[in-house]
Amino acid sequence: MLHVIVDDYGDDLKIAEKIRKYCQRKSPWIFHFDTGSCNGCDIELLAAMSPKYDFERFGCLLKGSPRHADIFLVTGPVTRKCKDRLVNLYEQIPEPKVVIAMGACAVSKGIFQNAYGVCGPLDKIIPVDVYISGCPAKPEAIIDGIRKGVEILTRKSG
Amino acid sequence: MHKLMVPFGPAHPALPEPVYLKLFLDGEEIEDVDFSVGYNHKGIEKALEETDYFKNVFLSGRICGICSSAHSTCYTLGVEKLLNIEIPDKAKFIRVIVSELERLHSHLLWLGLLGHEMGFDTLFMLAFREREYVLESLELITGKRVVHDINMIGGVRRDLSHEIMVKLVKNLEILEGKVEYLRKLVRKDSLIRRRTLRIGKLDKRDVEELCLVGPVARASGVLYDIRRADKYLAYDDLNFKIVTQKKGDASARTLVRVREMLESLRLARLAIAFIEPGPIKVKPFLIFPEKEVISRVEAPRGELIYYIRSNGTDKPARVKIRTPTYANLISLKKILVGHTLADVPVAVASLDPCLSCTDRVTIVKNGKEKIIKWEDLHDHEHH
Repeated sequence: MLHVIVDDYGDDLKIAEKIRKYCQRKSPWIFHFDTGSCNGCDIELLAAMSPKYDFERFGCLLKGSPRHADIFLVTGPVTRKCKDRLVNLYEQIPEPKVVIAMGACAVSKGIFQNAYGVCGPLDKIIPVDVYISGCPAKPEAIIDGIRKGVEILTRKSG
Repeated sequence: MHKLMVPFGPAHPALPEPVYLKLFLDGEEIEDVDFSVGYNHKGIEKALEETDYFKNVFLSGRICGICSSAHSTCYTLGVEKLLNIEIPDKAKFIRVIVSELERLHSHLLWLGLLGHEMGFDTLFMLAFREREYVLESLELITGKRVVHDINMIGGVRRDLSHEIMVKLVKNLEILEGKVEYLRKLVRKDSLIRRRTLRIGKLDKRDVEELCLVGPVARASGVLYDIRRADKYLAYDDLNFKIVTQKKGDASARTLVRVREMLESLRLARLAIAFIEPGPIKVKPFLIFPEKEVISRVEAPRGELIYYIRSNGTDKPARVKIRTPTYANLISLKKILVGHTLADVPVAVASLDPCLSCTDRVTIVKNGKEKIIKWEDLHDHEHH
């Protein structure tokens, strides 16, 4: 538990900052974006949320808006049509943020090397902090990746 | 009256996949719908032409992660027709088991997402909890949870041992009770009934006019199932019912899918009982004749068609894929017009759209060839 004793009103900002850092570490919110994946990774992400794996016990929540997110989780080999939206969404996420590339496609374009509509991999377009490999990544690997992402997030927020 | 255009997507919390719906509203009622897809377009059909037949099995399995073995089964059936080879019986039954388990996992996933769309997250958690049994069984058979890659040209990749079959039967027995519970829940629960009754109504004529396929068609009383119509793999030997409903609304589609789950369970158990020891693959004769073939399978979402043309080399000259969502998505206007904005997620989800296999590029202009630059295409989508 966090114990905050407010005895000096001048320290309000400092306290708010402290609370923010604590919340970010204990409850990172995730924004998921599909850049043309085959859905395999997306359903494994949902499976990681389900009772068997349950990443919500680490305080992680899937959020619908990029402005609420701390972690940007991207699946898929980045199609041409998605590229601009991807950059747009990335810019909307407040700092500090962590980008996770999930699945073989996001990491290296995977099996879609020859496809003309693909302009990935992800790290060519936005900076990536954590790579989760696998086609599709298993829920255990996803949880591990998110945990590593939280470590980086803590380091980034100082 | 001034009409309001509400954009829905492409990255919308209610949709796991990018699709852009433009909803034109009058008050709260939807008057017109326009949609733009293509966010997932990767160009797989072209990529299939650049890789040889054997590697394409894996690429076709990754067209859609949810119905991956339906895609690779359809592709391998086509190539086997091209090469004129008959696969061993055991391989057929293993393919049937994997396909049926996949239908089960797809429908459970869909039920969970439907629950999520209507704000009933408990149903989402319930469906996903039961789905783990299916994924466990699939992992036992194929070694992978989601994209199975069990098919190869001439048979299947992995044998089913006796221990696996025992475990599988046990898993399926547990599942039967759980799915039966879900069926009762869907029939009786007032929340699900109120959110789905009379939503997105499609009558039999609409279905026939729009050529809809799969559970969407069967929920409107159209008795159409490729497993019965084509009798591919071992479906000829297995006895099964085709589930239909008459009402054609979202609740009928829910019931069709839930009852189909029970039917799939029964089919999978039946197929396990039919398995006899024997080879699981034949070695294909590696000369590809110049020929064109069409193969069809019943994917979890409906009829899936592969057209393969060979030009005598080890790579296909053309692979054309028609996926079930591609056929079903045109009913979106019929489904949404007249409903309120709050019903959009449920109505769209009741179609079970899977967009990763749907996105296409088609340019037709006076029958002439035209080269379009990427920038022009980009502008084009905004108009």
